[in-house]
Amino acid sequence: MSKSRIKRFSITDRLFHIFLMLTFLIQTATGFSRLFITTGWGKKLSYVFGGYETALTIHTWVGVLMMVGFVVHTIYLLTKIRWENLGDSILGPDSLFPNLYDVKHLWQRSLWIFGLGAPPRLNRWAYWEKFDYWAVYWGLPLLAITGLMAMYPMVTSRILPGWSLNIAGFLHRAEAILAISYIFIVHFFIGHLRPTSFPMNEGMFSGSVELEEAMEEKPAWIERLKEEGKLELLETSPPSTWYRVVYYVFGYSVLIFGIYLLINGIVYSRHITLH
Amino acid sequence: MLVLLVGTLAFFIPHSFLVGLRELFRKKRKTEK
Repeated sequence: MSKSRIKRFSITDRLFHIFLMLTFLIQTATGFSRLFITTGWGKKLSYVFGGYETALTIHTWVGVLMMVGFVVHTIYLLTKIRWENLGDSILGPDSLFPNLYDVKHLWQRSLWIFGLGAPPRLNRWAYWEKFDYWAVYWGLPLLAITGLMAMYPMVTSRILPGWSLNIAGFLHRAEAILAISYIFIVHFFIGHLRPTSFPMNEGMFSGSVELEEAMEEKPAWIERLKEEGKLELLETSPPSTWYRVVYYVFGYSVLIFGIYLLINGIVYSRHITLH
Repeated sequence: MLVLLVGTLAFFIPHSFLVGLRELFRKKRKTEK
């Protein structure tokens, strides 16, 4: 008998995630092909994109695409806000906005790791999921602004002093390295390798999670849905086998390519210059 | 920025790894039961 499942992510959420996966991977590969151009590996990687200059062109245009994605996502967020009930919409349990419960949950989970307490009774969004979300949300504008400054150095130097371009270059690279390291180590580990998720946390692809699994990890969310009588409304059927095959192949291809880039980034890290 | 880079990774890498390790032991105990 198949286990019951509940809906967790809408089709729009999942499309935004796929968009981010693809654009982020292209930006990492094209960015690395330039950052490591002095190494044999960096040269080979740049050939995949047609060389040093073409890699920059791709990096630039995919960056512009990401900026468009950011604006579209912000508009989408604004449409999701319940303006008549603004407080609850922003600070309520369905919101990704950080609150004091996240600090409490982080503390409880840290104690639980060492067997010093019960696991936190998480609601819809865990503190690490909120961290993932907001890390992208502040990181993208930073990369976009510094990227635009590098794209238009003459315009920038007309408005700002010349050294601001050095600062922009430093911030762009440091933030990119932070995002790449975080996604390819922490996010991949949480999504794929930790025992509860292994071999893959399918929620972001199938849009649904097993009820039993959700009750274990997010008990406060399930209890709230039961109290509000919304649990039945969220029940859904499991994904079809062909669809699972598609997202497993896609997800693992991204994972393998990401780890390949990460390992080479670490191996050649002594060649990184931050300005 | 460097503080943020090092700080984020220094906190989240061990934290996530330890959570994984804890889950592994909990899973093992559940299977034994």
